[in-house]
Amino acid sequence: MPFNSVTFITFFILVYALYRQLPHKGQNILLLIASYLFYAWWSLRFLFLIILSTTLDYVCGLMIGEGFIPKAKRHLISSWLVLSALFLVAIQWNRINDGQLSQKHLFSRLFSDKTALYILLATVLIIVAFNLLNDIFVRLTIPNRQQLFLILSIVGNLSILCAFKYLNFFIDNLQPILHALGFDSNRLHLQIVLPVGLSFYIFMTMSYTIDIYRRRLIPTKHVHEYALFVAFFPKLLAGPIERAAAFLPQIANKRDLTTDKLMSGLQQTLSGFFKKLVIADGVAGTVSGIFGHTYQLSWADATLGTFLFTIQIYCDFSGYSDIAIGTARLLGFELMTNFNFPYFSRNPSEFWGRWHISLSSWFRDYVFFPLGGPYGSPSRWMRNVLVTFLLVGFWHGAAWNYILWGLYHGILLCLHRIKESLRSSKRRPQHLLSKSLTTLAFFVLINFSWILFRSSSPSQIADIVRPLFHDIGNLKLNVDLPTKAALLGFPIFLFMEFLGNFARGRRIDQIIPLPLWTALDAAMIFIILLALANVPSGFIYFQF
Amino acid sequence: MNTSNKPVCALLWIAAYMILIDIAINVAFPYPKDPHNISPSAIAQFFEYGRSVEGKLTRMTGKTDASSAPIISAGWLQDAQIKPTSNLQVRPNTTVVTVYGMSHAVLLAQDLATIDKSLSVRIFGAPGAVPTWSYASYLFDRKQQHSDVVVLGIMTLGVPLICTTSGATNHFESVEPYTYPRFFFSNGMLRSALPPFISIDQYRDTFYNPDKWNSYVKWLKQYDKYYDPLLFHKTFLDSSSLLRMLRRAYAHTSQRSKMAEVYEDRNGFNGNSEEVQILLTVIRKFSEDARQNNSLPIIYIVNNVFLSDHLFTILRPTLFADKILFLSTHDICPPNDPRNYLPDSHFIPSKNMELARAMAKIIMENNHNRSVRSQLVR
Repeated sequence: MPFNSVTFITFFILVYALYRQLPHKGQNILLLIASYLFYAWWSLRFLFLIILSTTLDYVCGLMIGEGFIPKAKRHLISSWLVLSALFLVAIQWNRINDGQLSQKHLFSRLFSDKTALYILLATVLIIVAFNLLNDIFVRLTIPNRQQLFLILSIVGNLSILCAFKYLNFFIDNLQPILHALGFDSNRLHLQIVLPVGLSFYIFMTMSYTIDIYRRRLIPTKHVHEYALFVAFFPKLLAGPIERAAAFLPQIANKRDLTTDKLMSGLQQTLSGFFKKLVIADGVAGTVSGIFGHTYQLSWADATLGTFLFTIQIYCDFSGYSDIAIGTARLLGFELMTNFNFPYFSRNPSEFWGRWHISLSSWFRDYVFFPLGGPYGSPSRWMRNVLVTFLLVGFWHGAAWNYILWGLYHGILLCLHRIKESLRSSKRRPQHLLSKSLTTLAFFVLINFSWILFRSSSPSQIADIVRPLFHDIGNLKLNVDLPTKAALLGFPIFLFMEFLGNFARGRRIDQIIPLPLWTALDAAMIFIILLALANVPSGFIYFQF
Repeated sequence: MNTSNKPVCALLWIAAYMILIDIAINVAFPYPKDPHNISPSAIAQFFEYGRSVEGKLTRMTGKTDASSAPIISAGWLQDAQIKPTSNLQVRPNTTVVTVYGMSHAVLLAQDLATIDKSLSVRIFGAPGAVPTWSYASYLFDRKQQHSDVVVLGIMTLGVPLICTTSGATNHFESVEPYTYPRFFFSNGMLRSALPPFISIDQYRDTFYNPDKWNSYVKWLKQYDKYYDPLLFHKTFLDSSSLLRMLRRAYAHTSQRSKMAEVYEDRNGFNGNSEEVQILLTVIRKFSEDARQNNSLPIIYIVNNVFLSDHLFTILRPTLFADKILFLSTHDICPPNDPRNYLPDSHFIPSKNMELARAMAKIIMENNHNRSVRSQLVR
């Protein structure tokens, strides 16, 4: 159920209407049910993965933090997981109406998928093993038990991630070795799609157990609260990657639904829809035309394509984040800021403090600092930066272009750090012109990085880069321009970005008078209406 | 300002601005009242796209040709109305080639006439004609004039519209009132239902008679897959430019979802859809009929820009199995190269000429009934 659909808007209105009528605990239950429905709309089977990851980390969290799980709770969780495997995976609901078979064949039809039955069996075996071994776990020394369950959590989560996201990539790249060992790599391929939002919720659940292990968080005792933290629908599919320390208290405590929150939530949601429907979707056709070209690109094509993709990916992802944050705020939740006007950055360090903040801070806290962080010899911190950004690239997808993109940013950061260390300690403040030129120069470097991100092969990278240097000044455009709505909306988008950047965290309605910001809102609604006729495209980050 | 009043004030301001924008658009970009003004400004046209079908027809239909928009006379099937859309005439001792189809087919035929003087090219075209219009046009025409060669023009974008019956339902933004039969399968046989009117005079008569018009709407409801009361009927919503935009968005969404049942960019055509089954049967029937009529049938396959060669792919087995001659544009104009296409989706003149030469070559090599030598102009 994507945000940019009538189905979601109807769903949200219904949930919201009900939500306002319920007491606090009822609201939490409603949100959990709504979140599971929201995900099941896309795939009922993959909902089991969310429940599996939730159960794994809830159990690991309690075993690390508390050392035991009461028997009644253990049985409740066990039953919940087995029933989920039964109803979400093992039973083939789509076969109920198949064919003209009589009722006596119904059972065999419902359980006709062998793989699904293996998954059910494996779930039952894991549950039985855990319950049988529980006494042994409880008797372990605290450090041993904590380490064991931390490893279980990390290995379990990364196994799910690798199986769905990286296995085929590794098989493809290890093909010669596998072939030499007598394996048919084609048969090893998993014929499945990547579950939407997998990388986002796996990172959320992993940070929960790691934070408990580091004694920065006390595990929650309420399974439904933890489940809601993982599955909360506004952030489920593409983040922000929330931390339990900030989010769980919001679930546990009564939430204020003030008029102010309502207004700012609506404003941010509107801004998100504007960025997505008007700008991102409006330039998508031109970008696809250029990156999917079958002819020689001109300099104008390559430059426009690169620039528009830079705009598209920002508006697509920050638009999603705005809708997520806005709708969450309407429900009384505060999600973390994910984008802080990143294209106004003047260096890579600043950029990564403004772009996909929830991911960059995750990698900073759970990869970069454990590796040693910015401390130690220059070669050591450069290694730490490069390893971290290689993983950032790899997080985006199992493909070499994402790894190249990550390394490119790692190298930019290293070069920036070297440049900073060479500069004299006494710095003169930069003039506005100098600041603007630095911003522009860095924006060009960012544009270049998106070529690596968007291209699907080295030859495609070469096709886009070649005319940028060898065909300079050729203004012949071979593709259609963005939609009318995008062209009309672009000045408003720019104005909002400049205003937002200079507002330094304050909301738009706090810095300009009511008649002016309502005029902006009306203009955005008007242009959204214009854009509604365009072909909607999915959110880019759903594929990660 | 009291904080609790702020949302109410904001909503009132936004509502006031929206009303202002609505009025300003209607005042600043009015659609010309003169039906002969067929090229108003792009912005005026843009804000009119969402007007209801009946609203658009009312604006373009007068009681006489003089008081009507010229476009309403295009595409009518009835015998009296079938005439070459260009002034090309059948000359003695020439091979008579008749081309039926959409504008791409018309442009091909016009170039064909200029490159081979041994051909007398007749053209029957309708704006955005769907394959069933082309076939119906052939069925009407063959009663009047024998052709040595008959060319049926079809394009990718026309196939999903096969279960429509009028230019008023198949392209919401650019409505034309012409009609054509609805083909369907009954007991495994291809049947057709003829619309209540197939000429411009019958149309005028129906349009200005509420009872006849209501019965036509009932017929549309029964036979036309793209008939949608929200898009079709003229209501007060037509007066608001913002509501017109909403209707346009709805039209796009609903037509996209109907189209997706037949065609998808990635996978091409759904071979099980009714539209594709009708298309394949129409092509088989067209070639059988033409051969029985001692004509050489050729299919002109236009693969639209960015839509790959999906149309050719779905037709290929039938074309080869039934040994039907064809010219598919994808070899000469790869659909993924937009440089082959004009912004209005037609082929650029040089490519169109290349396609016409290829068609002339097919005719020259396969038309054994020809009594004259080809005079291909190189």
